[in-house]
Amino acid sequence: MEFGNAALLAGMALGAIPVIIHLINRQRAKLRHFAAIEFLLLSDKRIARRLKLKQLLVLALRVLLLAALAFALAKPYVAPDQLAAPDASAPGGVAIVIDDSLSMQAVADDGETYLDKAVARARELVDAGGARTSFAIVAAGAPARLLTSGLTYDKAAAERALDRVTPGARRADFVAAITEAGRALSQSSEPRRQLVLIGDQQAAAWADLGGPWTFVPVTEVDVVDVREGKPVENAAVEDVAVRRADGAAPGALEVAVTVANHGAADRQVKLEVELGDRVTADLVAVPAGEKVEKRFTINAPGAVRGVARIDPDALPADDAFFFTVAQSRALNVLVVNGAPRGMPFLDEIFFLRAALRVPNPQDMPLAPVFATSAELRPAQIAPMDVVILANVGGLTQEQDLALENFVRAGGGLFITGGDELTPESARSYGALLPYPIRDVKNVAKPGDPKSALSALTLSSADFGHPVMEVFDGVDDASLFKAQVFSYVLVDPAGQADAKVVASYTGGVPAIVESTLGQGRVMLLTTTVDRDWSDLAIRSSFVPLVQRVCQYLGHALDRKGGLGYIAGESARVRVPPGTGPLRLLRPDGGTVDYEQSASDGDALFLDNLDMPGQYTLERAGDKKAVTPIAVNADRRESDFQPVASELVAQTKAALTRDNGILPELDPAEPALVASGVGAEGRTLLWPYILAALFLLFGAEAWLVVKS
Amino acid sequence: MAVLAPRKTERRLIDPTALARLRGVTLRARRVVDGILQGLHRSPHQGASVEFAEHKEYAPGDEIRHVDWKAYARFDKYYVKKFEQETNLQALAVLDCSASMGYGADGVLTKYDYAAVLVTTLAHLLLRQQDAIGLVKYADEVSQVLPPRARANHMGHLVEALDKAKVKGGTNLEAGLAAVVEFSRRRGMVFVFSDFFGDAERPFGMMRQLVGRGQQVTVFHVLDGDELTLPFDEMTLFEGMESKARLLVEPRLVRKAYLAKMAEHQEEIRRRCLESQVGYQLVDTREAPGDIVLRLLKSGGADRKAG
Repeated sequence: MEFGNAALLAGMALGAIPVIIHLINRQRAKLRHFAAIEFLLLSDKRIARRLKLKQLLVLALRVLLLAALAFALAKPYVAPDQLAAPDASAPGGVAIVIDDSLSMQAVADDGETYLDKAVARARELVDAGGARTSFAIVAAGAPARLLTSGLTYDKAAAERALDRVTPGARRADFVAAITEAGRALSQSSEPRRQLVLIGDQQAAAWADLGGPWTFVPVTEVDVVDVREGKPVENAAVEDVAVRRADGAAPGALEVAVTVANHGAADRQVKLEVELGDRVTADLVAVPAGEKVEKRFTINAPGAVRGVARIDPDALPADDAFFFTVAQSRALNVLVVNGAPRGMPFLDEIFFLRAALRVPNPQDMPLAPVFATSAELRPAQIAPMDVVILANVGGLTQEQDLALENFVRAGGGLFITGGDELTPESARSYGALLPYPIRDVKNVAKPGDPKSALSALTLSSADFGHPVMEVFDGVDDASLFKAQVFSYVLVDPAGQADAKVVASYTGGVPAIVESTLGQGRVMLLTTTVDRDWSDLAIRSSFVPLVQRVCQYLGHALDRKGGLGYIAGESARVRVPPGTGPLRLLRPDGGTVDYEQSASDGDALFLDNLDMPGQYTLERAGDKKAVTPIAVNADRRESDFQPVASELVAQTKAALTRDNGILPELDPAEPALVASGVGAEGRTLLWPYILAALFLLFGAEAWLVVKS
Repeated sequence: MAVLAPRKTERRLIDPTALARLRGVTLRARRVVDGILQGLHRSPHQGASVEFAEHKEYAPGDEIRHVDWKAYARFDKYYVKKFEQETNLQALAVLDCSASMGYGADGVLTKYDYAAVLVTTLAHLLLRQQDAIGLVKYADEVSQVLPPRARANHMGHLVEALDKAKVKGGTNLEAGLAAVVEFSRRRGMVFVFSDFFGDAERPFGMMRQLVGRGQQVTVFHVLDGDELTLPFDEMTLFEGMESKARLLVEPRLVRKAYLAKMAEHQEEIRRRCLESQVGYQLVDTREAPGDIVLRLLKSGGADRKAG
């Protein structure tokens, strides 16, 4: 049972009022000396038992009356799934969302997978559908897919759609799946729009379902837990980190494997690590609900890929973790050149291009792509991790909007100064700039010895900042010797979400940062070429640029590398050489790419749909390979069930009036809600109110009779 | 035992309204009564009076003035006229001073006060017609006895005795009646004032003895209006006046049963009076005392003289 206004339940304390009044009345009872008390005593004795029983009954009724009133005002209801199994026989549209994510491959006690059970339940619903019941089938594994052509009255078509529900190493994407289902239901000509969510109801899958939803509110939401609340004893290899082993033989690697126990009982698992042709194993005790990291030192020269395994359990798909030795995923960086030049060394991004391609010791490679501001298309922006606007002047409205959406969604934006970035052109940046640009200041001339003294240098920095922390304690870091001749002057006042990371002499902001949505924006107030500063030729320039990209791309936030996640698009660096590319899949399949990519470029792959070791190779050149490790999303490993409160909130959000109205046939009869709320709930308070009236009548009758 | 002091305000034991209504009314005993003084009541003795009884032959010692000279002229013998002697009434008021008589509805006389008013009214009536009246006050035991007197200043003694009384203790009517037996060597009237909240069996045995001795006994069953109707509404903690009994109750819940019990009680007293040839007057303290006395006089033989 749930409540519309649970806070009003506190009002049930009002039930104490009659008792308190009774007690006060006893205390306040008037003392009266009475001569004929013997007759009173005789009368009281005669009727005492009956009378006291009646009094108690009246008191109990009054307590019940007030408590029931508060209870009714709290609007209790029973969510549909708590009442009975969903019923799809009534006329209306029914969208069945089946969770076909990785976790649904877990095997139940009866040997069936949860996905089998879910499909069977969906078939039952379809079979029970009436002549005026239409169905839509949606698979919730990312990417969510509508498996029918919208709502269909053709049960055979719905059955065929269910046949296409197959296991996969996907993560559950309920947001997209419910959106698909809601849009399909919006087409229903019947007033009843029922949404049925069938799955294992993992808590992780229910995040971000609070809306607002952009489709016609559904009238009923049924949640079917195929696990029936039973726990799943699952352990998973959560992560693998590979480092060079300190003090060991050359080529020896330290492999740190994290094993998570998502079950309710402590477990001891056999952990086996295979690296190249070397295999090592150990027993690992993992307490219930905890993670344990186990480190192995393996000397496997030349090995480029490996796998860590534990004993198979209820969900075998997460019992192996595939990794490559250089297994960190590259950050996709789009560099937009605002001042391209014909002479390479005069080009705005000449030094930046070089800095981005230098391998870094943190195994966080950057995969840069380059474009000019004139060529920049909004579609290029979204797949990136970081976008660098190098001395880019005015942005078009589309570019600005795409960049803002990109940053708000978690992307990183690095803006560098230059003669194109003027106070006038900066207006086109909208909300992207951390601080507004006031002016361009020229304090010295490059190459002029006379003005060397007037050039600015970095004088202070926030060494607690992830970008600057690597320069902390380096006394003669070249970063602080770089001379700045010109800079854009920003007004660092009145921006709550912005801060100064580093300053020039005199406290003039040099690097500033702000947050926008989930993303970050940093601004270097001078250039990344030699026009305004000699920073680009300083040795600190490379780590500065790379740290900025890693920070903006959230790479510094990551504790380990999952590598690539099955089912998600991946941008991988192509192997060196020329010629067509071929992708070798773990299942032995191959995918050929007609258009060859050049060395150093990256390739988007959207077919890494199963965990395992992939290989991207140049056709005909077995040595030119890029190993790719793909693993299932480990969020699927945790079978922690969703909280009933969250389910209730989600149902409320899905059934709440959002102003979007259905286009109903006016001839159709309206849904009669007799005890059934418009939100598909069974409302209890009308019955409680009816009971209240009966109680009130009983109380009055008792009072009159006594 | 509850002790109730008399009200601090001075008791108004004489009700001028009642007395005004009784002007010209006399109380006559239904039976012959003994008395020393001449009065309104028939006496078993013959003597000087205006009421002729019979003739008898003169004998030495007879009053010469009673010789009927007309009879001598007719019969040539001396006959003496004999007259029926009239005597005064000797009445005793037996007044219950137990604690229960101290009950009175708010702002109204207590039952004791009310009974005292009745006693003074009767005393006024009797003394005015040369009859004697005495008083016996009792609670657990007899607390005061005022012998019957017909003197004019007796009224003052009577009022003083009534006014000084304190209502306390239990009800022992038997003791009060025993005192009456002791004092009532002559035939007369006995007025018993009580609420009869106690043993009702034994006092009526005493009353039957008094009736057997020629006493005319009248019971004034004094009850307060509250006791007759139980008019309370709010939750009340009742406490006994002659016992420590307590009862917390909503009066409306027990009213019906209580009134039935009270009616039974009245009926029982009335029945016992009837069986014992004792007069019964229910005294509701909400009534005017004059009405009660008038009702008594009507049932007991009032004689309203002209003027």
